[in-house]
Amino acid sequence: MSDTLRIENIELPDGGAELRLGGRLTLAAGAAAWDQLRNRCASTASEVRRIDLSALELVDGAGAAELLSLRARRSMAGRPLELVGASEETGQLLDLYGCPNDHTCLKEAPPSPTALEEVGKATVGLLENARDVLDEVGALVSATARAIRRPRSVNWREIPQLMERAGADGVPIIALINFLVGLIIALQAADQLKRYGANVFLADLVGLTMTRELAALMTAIIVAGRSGAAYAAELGTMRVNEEIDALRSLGLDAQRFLVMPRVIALAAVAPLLTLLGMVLGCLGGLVVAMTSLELTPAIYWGELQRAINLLDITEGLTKSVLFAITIVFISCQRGLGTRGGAAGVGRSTTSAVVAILFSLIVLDAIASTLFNSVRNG
Amino acid sequence: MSRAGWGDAAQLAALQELQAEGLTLDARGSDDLIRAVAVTTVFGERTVLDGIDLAIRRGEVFVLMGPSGCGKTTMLRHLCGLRAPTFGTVSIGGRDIHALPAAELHALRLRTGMAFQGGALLGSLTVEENVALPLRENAGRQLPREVIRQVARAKLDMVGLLPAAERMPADLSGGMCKRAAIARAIALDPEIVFLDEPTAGLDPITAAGIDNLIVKLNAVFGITMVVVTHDLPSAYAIADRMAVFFDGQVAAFGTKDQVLEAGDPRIRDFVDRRMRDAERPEIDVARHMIL
Repeated sequence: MSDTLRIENIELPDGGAELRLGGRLTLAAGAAAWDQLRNRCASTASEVRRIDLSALELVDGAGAAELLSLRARRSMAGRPLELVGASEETGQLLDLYGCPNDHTCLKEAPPSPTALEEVGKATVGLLENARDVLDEVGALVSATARAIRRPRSVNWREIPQLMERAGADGVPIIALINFLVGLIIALQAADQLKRYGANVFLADLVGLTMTRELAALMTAIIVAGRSGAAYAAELGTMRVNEEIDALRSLGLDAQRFLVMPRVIALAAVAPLLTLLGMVLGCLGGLVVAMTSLELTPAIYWGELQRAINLLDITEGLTKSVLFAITIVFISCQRGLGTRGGAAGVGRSTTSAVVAILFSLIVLDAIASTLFNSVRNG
Repeated sequence: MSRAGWGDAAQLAALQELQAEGLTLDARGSDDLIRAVAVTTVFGERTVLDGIDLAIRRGEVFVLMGPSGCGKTTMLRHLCGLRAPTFGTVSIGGRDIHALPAAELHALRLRTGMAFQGGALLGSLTVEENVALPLRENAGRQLPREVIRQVARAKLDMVGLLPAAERMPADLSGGMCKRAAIARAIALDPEIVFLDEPTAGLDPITAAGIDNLIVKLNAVFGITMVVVTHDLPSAYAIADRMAVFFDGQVAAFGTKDQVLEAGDPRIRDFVDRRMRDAERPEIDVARHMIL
């Protein structure tokens, strides 16, 4: 049987009108029934004063809510409406869905904030966030100082496993990405260099960009995506599950117990990965050198050796350590600051990755400038 | 309970040495071990706790009771030193715990244990490793590995979880998680144990088992127990004294009988409503839903 509502108009002797409902007033009949009811109320010549429910076969929660909100609307408009003839069950249902008064019945949910409000809130949040960040920097510095003073206070146990997850497991993707980046740079440059007969300088170009800049940056980006996101989600979940509080109640400090091992693991692993990235990047360049610039591996290698000095490699490795510490620091800070359930963990992870990528680029710019002035000065 | 054994004298001595390092929880001539004065907590614009005064005696089972959202868990977090109140002080053994220097706060934490509502076991460690964690990290230099293991297993035996020692927290049922959390909370033989809703969400039989455990730990080891619960039967089974919270205030305070005799209408309501709920056939409401 289909869920339909029948409405019958009855003129009352005193000039008003009554609507006699029949059929079913249910969720399935929902929207159509609602329109039907309202239109009837509006279109009936004489004013609708009563709704008779006695012939209704079935009313469910949605139907009861429709009747109640119709009554509330009418009474707010100064035209009271009576619901009569309800069976005992329908009556109880109406009681169950009833509101203390018409006003609360029709109260709208608070409007979602406008764009301007969001911007304002975000700005205030940023300022509060800045204080938290300073707190965290302080905590991390003091934890580091303590770790140096008393190396036994560090939770060394977890470090090998962390190094394996951040380092060994990431080798294939990091190798591939750096190889491709080296290849792409070489491809883009090959044509230009050929035009000037400067084929051999491809080694300089690829070698220097990879060692000074791109190996560290690309590796850090991958590490941020793999380990940074993982740390933020892991610590965030621990925060949400009260595990961080549990650690505190056991006399264990989250900075010392969770953050320090991650700093050490990543700071140890990142330069190794970066070194690998440098080699693979140069190999990518070699592929292009051999295929489109007719260079031999020996010439390419010789030119690389001539072009790259220890300072270039130092620059790349220094950056990689700096990046690693930044990644751990931001991801752990966001993770430990997680509020509010699964959605909070998602927010922390997203904001950790975004903040890390932004910080990496800014740090890279600063570090490159410093190294340039060292090189020239 | 003594079946698990406490090892030989040397092991005991090592443990005692560890204990001696902690802060002596000296109540200085008073029976009150924990004292809260005018504790007030404000979250944003909402006053969660409004001028709470409490005194908890050494060696008693003290229950913080009340409906959900009345501020009792927040109060527990103040009492155990996890969170400082907006105003007011909490002192343990006569010292304001929210003003302690870091080293002394750390020492205090080793003398107290906390069992969280959801267990809060570290997901990356087995149950036994979770219980061993405070021993390993705080006493790693004094205690040899097998002693730590033995203590952890003894604690697990006390809560009846020895068979599950090697399992991961994710594989445990709710009741087992709570018992493991209690085992971890008592790992360092604390003088005070704080428990947050130890029986919430458990079936009556498991809940009674945990009540029994709390009473036993209190009786055998003289541990002062501070328990948050909204579970009325549980509160009545374990409490020496209790404080009933309503809307951020203590509505009644004292022994079970004193609390009932206090005659606060809200407490009557809290107690009676539950009984009505239990008697009321749920079918009434259910029939409307399907009609």
